[in-house]
Amino acid sequence: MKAQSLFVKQISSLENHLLDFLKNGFKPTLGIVFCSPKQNFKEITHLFDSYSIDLLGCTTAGEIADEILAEGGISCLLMDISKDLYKIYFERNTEGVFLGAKKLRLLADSTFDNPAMIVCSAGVLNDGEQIVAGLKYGTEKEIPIFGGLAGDDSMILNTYIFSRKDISNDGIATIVFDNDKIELKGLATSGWEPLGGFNTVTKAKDNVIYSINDEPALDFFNRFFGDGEQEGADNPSLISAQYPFQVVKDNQNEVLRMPIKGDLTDKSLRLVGSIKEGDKFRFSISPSVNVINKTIKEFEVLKNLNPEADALLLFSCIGRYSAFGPFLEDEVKGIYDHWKKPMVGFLTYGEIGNLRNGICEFHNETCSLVVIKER
Amino acid sequence: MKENLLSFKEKLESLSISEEEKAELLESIESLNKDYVRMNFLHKQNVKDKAITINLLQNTVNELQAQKEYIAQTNVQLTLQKKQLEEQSEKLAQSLQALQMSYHELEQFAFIASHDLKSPLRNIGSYAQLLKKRYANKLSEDADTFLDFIVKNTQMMNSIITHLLEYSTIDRKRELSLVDLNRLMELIRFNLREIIEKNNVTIEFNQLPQLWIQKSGITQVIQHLIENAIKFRSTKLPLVRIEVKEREKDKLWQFSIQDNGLGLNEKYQDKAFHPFQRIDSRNLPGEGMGLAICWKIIKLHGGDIWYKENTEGGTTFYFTIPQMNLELVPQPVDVLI
Repeated sequence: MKAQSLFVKQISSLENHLLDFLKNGFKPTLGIVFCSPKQNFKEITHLFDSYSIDLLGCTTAGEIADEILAEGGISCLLMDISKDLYKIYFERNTEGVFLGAKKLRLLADSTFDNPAMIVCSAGVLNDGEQIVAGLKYGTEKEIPIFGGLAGDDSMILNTYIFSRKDISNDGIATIVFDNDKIELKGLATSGWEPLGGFNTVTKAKDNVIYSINDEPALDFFNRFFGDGEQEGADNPSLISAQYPFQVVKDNQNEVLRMPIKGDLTDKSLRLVGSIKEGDKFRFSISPSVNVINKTIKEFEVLKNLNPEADALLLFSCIGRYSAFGPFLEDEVKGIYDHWKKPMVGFLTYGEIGNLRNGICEFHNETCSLVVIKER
Repeated sequence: MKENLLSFKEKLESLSISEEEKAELLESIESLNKDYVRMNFLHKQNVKDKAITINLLQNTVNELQAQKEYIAQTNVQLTLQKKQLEEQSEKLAQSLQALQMSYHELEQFAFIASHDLKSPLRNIGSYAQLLKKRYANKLSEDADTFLDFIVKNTQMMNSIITHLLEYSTIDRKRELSLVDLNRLMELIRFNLREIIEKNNVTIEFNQLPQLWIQKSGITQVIQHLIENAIKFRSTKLPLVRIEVKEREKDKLWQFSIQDNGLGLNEKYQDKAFHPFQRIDSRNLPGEGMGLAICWKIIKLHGGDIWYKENTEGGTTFYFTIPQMNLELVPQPVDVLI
């Protein structure tokens, strides 16, 4: 498989690159595009359709291409994979995210004996945990599933996914690969460390927490973060992205959950992923920019296990950008330098990826990397 | 910093150095600028992290402090409750001691009264019988009848006192032993051989188990119930059927003693086991102590006793005792009833 990555500021540049590739004999069949919501992604879909290149894309809170981390542009990965080895499915969440995701998993299982999935989801209030639950529904078989929740330059208004023919601000799209032929390996890692004691979610429904330790959730949150100098109050995402909840799940996996919105009327907190009554959590904090070296080292282990790669996808949480600022470029470069192969990605509102134990979870504040290799 | 960079660029243009040197200088300055931005971000981030960390830890400390205070308050309440419980427990112990003393005194009184009554009663009975023997048919007809009444009633009173004595001296020490109930039934048959033969009584039982019981107490109970069956016999020859079954659910042994006698109405269930309750209006023998003795023995065993009227006539008495095994056999305890 051949692959090319590129970063452009304008769609016209994207078309020029595409023409150059075609002129030089590289005929991509599949494209993955991550772009700023400021870009005309409708035009992008037309462009790919006009060249008969299959497409999976979404809007972002920042784009990654090789060692570049930028805002406002378009990052694109082009691959010339045989059309027999992948299939793109697009699902509008007409029956909710869980059923939408479940439908996609059923399609994946019916398409290939051994599928692997790249998933993008749109809809700022959608529950990432439900998406993963849907993608894993009805089977105990863990398959490689990686992806991210689309972004919108941190406006938290509207996020989009798109393919050659479809655009949606509330849906899920996936590329299902034949994992017997196209191998997907990856890892999601965060590096965040817990801080303070355990707290208990005493009232919650789906991804909305109403009370913590029997105290209204927003009051509890603001007691820690909204002391007047912080920007907490009704927009906790401004501050909580850097200090997410570290939740201990029933399977003992620890996942980070980022409060994204506060509601002053019922004093509730909305998270990107769901949480249950009785769940225990602690606040967490990034152990400064040093964690970047730790992340790079973790991916070095992945590199040693999977030295060969045709292309890479990186889903990194926008919260990491808030915490690491310009240092996040070092993380992107460090990861790229391990393989020095075409890599694209974006800053997400939530990440999907398999942990070191192979179990796929929904995450926040993590960096989820996928290595794509044709066997 | 950006403004500084712009002004530097302008100044750089005015310098009379080569383009190559200008580019090198500009690159150096841009690198410095980038490092400045990064260090500035890092500094701000560190300050923010520090503030948040302090806030988080402060709140955690506050919560721990609040929890500590709550625990201290709870401790005070618990100490008070403990003191109250100790006081109540002390009072209860005192009441129990007083009750035990009263009970012992009552028991002693019953024993002394019964024992001391027996001797003068025996004398009254003896002299009444002597009178009857020497002066029968020599006094008036009424006098003979009066003497008969005296003899008969002294015998009855003697029987009452004997039972009262038995009731008050029921062994309260639960010394258990492993008893083969089949052999126990042979012993009971031997004890009651006279009235069994006299009344032509049939006692039936299948193979009975070996149980940990207080042998003398259970013997008394079964004997009393067989005697009752004979005493309150119907026109049929007395037939007593004994069964023992295991009640696994509540870990009990249940005994049943079924007779074909006159039958005892179930409405007297509460009264029947009280001392001196003669609930049948028919002129039947007995002082109303047998069932009271059975009740006391069974209660001392930690069991229960009751009866049911058989549909085909007669009564079935049931009693239960807790199941014991060798490991669980309790030390003898003083049981207060």
